Amino acid sequence: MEIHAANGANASELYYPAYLDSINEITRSNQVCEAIHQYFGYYGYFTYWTFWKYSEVTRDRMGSQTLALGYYYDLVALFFKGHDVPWGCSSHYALLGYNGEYIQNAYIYTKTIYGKHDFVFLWAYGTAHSYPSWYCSNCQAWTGHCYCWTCKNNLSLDGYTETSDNNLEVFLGWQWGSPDFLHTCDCKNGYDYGSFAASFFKYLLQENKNIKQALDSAAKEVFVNCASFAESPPRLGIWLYNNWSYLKVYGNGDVILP
Amino acid sequence: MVQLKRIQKFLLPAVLVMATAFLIFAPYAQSVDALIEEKALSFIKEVVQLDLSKYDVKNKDYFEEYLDHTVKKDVTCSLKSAEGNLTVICQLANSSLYYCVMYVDEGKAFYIQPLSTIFDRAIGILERYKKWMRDESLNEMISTLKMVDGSENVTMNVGDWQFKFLITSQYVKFSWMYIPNKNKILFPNCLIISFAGNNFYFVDERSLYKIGNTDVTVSQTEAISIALKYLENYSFEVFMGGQSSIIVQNFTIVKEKITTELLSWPREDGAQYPYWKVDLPLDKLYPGNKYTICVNVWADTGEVFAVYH
Repeated sequence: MEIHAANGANASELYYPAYLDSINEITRSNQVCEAIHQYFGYYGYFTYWTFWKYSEVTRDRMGSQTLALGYYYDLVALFFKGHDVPWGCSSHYALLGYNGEYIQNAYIYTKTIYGKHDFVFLWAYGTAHSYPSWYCSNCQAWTGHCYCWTCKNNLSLDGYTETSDNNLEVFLGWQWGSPDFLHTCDCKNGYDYGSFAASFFKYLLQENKNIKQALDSAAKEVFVNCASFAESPPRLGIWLYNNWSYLKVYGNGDVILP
Repeated sequence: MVQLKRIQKFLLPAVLVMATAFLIFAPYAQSVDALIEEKALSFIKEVVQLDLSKYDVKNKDYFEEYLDHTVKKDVTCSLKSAEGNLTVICQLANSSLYYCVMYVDEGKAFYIQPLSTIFDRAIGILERYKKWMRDESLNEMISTLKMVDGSENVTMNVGDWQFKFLITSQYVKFSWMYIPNKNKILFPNCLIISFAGNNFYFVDERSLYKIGNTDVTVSQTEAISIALKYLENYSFEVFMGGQSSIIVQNFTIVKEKITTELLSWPREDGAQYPYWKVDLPLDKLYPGNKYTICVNVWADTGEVFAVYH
């Protein structure tokens, strides 16, 4: 099944603040994010593509960019690599910008009013938590990242196997910890989790595959004894920080990015 | 008039040369794609036994990727019929097929013969693949399948291959991993047949990765000692944005929780060589959320070639 996300003017953004990363991880993350940036720039039908890094990743910038791109474009695709922490009653999360500045999901919610962020991939701790979202009266805010970015609360909870989600949105995030890009557990020789991220975007943008197919091809390419995403560690679980972590896909896995 | 004739005199051979070049080179460029597509469809028909006569087959996408010693080609075909639509993706390295996935997008798939049990399907696929590839070494895999009844998950070593049969709620998988018996090194070379719902996955990477050697002269205990020695004065830096970075040093390793694996990694020649992956857990969470340090030690030379944390 093919569902093209949008046919109009499309924008993409990458954010990598590097805060709390080791020097080796920063080098690797730059390589991977730069590769993803190139895929957006040269292979997708994106008329705007930007890679914000280090001190460029601030709360103000992410907020103003989110609002402005939502206003001017038909579709916005976003990838963030970094760290995320709970705030308030702990059902709410904040991405950490440069210097560890909190970029709360509730703040993002005020900037996605045009509902154009149809593809969001947050490679950070806990970004898939608290979905479907609920309004928390104590903190007076919606919970979790997914709803605050996509403005949809009815996305399929397993976009990899769903067959009936007709939304145009896809959200990818981590349940519990997100592995470093340099993490190599169950990777083939010479590959790491950064390779998985880059490979996913290669198949998604350069080879026009849909989300499910791109996840399958990337998983097969990077992980040992693995024919599909269903058999891969991000899907089956990675032991990180004394917990099992999972890459969750919410929404419509049949979507092909423009 | 004379001048025109002169032009014609030179123009005609030039046109002939260009036309000949076009006839020689243009079909060649097209035939590369056609050959790959033909090979992919041949695999789908002869090995998977999909009944192609029931489908309108179209080549949807074709990509080439140039790596060090390999040209990877990726062809996607769309198969449409009144009762079902499929997408088939095949990947080839230097014209050898190593990955095929068939997605049933809508409806059902039509096969030349009615589907039997999962085990019979897997055996049938391997037998037809053996014929298609003219590869007698597949007999070892086929005989392994015939030794298993499918009632429970199985892991067994046969020759240099580790066979695994796995049933989960989402997929049924038959896989053979290359593990030379002598040293139990896990190489990435594998053969996989997997069924997930109506989708079918096939991987043959037995020859995709060149093996450098399988010599293991460094023992597990020696590898751990080398890793511990390497980390004695080791430190790493954690980036803190505009503030001063934190240097992490003098960390404590929980020695009783150290684990090792014997894996393979490519060297400059692109071939795989065995190494010890030594995971050294730390006593607490250190800045940058670091809780483990991983040291990779070549199993033949004892040299540390990578450290991750």
